[in-house]
Amino acid sequence: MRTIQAWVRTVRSAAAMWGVAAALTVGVMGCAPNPFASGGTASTPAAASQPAAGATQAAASPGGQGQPEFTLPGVADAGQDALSQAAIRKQQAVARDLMEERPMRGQRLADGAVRFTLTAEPVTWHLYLKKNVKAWGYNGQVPGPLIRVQVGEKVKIVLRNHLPVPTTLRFPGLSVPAGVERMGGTSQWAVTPGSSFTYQFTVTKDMVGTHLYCSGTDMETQIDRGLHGVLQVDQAGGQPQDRVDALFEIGSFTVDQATMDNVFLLDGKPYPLAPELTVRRGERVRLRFVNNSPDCYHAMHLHGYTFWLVAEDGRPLPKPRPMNVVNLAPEETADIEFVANHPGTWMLHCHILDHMMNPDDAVGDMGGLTTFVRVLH
Amino acid sequence: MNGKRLKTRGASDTPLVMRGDEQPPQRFWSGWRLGLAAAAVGAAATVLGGWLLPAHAATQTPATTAAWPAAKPTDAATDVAADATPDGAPAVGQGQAGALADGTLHEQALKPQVLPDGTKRFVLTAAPVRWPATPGRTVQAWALNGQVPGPLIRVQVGDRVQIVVRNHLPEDTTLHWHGMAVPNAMDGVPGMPTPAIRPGASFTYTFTITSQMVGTHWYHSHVDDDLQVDMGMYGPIVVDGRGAADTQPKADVDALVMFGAFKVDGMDDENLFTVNGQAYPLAPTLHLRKGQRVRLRLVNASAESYHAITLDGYDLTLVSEDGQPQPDPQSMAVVSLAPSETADVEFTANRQGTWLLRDTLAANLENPDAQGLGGAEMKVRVE
Repeated sequence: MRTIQAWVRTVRSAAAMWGVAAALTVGVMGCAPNPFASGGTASTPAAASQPAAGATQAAASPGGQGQPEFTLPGVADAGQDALSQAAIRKQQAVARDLMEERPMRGQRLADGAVRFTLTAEPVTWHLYLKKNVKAWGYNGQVPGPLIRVQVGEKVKIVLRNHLPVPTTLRFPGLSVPAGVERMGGTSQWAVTPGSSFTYQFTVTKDMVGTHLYCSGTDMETQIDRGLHGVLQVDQAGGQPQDRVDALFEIGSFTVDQATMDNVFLLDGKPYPLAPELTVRRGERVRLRFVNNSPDCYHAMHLHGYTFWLVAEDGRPLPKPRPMNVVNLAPEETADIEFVANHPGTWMLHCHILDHMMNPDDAVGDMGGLTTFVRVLH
Repeated sequence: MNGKRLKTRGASDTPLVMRGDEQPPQRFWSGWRLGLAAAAVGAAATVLGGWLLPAHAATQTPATTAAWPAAKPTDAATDVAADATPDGAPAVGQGQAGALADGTLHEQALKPQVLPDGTKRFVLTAAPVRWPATPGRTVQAWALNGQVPGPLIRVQVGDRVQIVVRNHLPEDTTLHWHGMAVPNAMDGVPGMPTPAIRPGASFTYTFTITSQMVGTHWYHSHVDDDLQVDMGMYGPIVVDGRGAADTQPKADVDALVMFGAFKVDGMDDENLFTVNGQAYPLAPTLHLRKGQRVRLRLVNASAESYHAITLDGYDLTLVSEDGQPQPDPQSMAVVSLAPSETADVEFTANRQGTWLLRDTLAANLENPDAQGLGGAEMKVRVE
């Protein structure tokens, strides 16, 4: 074995590597810092043109418009009066629909295929009291609408680009045919502003499960602005009706020009606006977690229960594993199950404790990745 | 050289297992042989000289470093000034802190008061203390019964339990029993439904231990928890099965290792990592004999950091996760723990030598402002 001195040398040389340090930072703190962040007045072009791994021309020179909010890290403020109370309530309903797994309606085509249209566009999104941000979302919402398809279906997903920059769609974890999934920016193939492109594939049995869709272009910026959603593949004939099935998609934003994500969302909203689940005592419950925050790990913990991990990235485990915390890297999904035999209101939250806060919180306030599962007596 | 063995407690005859309503012992002789760098002794003496200590504790000599490797002395006066509380919180001596860490390792449990009906009554008092975490550095901590981590609570299925929590902190607090399906009113989430415990008040958590609760768990504050957990408001709780229902095979050695963190020097992120409340080289050493079957109960009690644990020279078999026996135990070199996860791992001590049980995250293996090994690691010596 190494001597202690040799080990210390190894530690020092490892810590000196930026790439390693970034990886360590992710592990140490749960979120990786934004490589473009300058931690100050980031509206200068110099901040935007910093070369970094994965930088694309889209980030450095946004189509000539030069609008500063597209080069800042994170999302810009929209102003506290940007949304009416009615608009905020409508967004709440969207979050609740997503938790309850109400999908978007597809259009049935003459050849039997089903077509979904996702329009990538700017959207003003409410986060917490007095905080509205200029996000990017599919079909005017963050996350985008739930797409649900069944084995055997021929699926067409039309991406319409109403953003000022090029974008693409990708489907992590789905075995779509080569050539369907496109990643890249202007230096590679992309859907330019004003254009659209149709992704097509046939749903096969190995695709059954909880998956996601998101932008494949300039991902550090675009996914973090809200371009993500859930794609759920059910077996032929739909999923079993003998249980409660609820979806908690995890997203994030960087607000107030922070250096890393500081607002965390469940189904698009941080606590106290995150949707809450109510079930009856004795019901079997399946919760689907999707980590659509591109820079952060999350450790989801449910109070009051031991639960069983039954699927990872949509793939059923040969033997479900019992635990009370399920850890998710970016793009991972996890399905857990338990029987709601213990009445009460139980907190469900990320146990990385600074993910349970909103930036404007007072001491002791709860925020972020926090919600409750209410088990009726 | 550190002469700790598995069973001996050193020269002290003061019991480390405390009755539920006792204060931590004021007089404690660690009895350790200390290999000290002379400069570290001088720095520690400077630190202690500034505190108000009871007269009989003035003869404590802190174990600030092990003989190998020697940590460079830090500017102790600066450290203290950065972390000191102005309200005169009591200081815990280095020897006492080291012995408490060792006690946690060997699963010394808090002794309850047993009520006439058989209920086990434990008392946990949350209060500020000055806690020695690294050689020459004392941190402002919020501790349960004067120690970080708080004392081990160990109970078995069928026990009726009362845990009285007294709040002497400057803000509200609660305790949550992570992993244990207690009644909703005892779950420790403020206002859901039970209000938080105000400063100066207390609350008695009451519940019966069920078979769901068997395993390695931990308790921690659920108020302002990103701050409070990283100030020391956590401790271990282990639930055993009862009699024939206790299906967990016994190991020769059963040891508890809690990875925690502090945020010092005004940092918003964790930057001081500990094992049972002590940063290497102050972390306890686990002494084993060749051939012993060992069960380690690992807990990640950090608010924000992952800890990926490895034991140099050994594979670890992951037998339980979050206290739950796993259907297909796997062997691995690195056990990755998210904040709040627990893992029981087993190995047979068949390779002699002195090994490190450590975090693989290199940033967690350093103490602030110090050179050399530090942070989230401890020695395992197989003889």
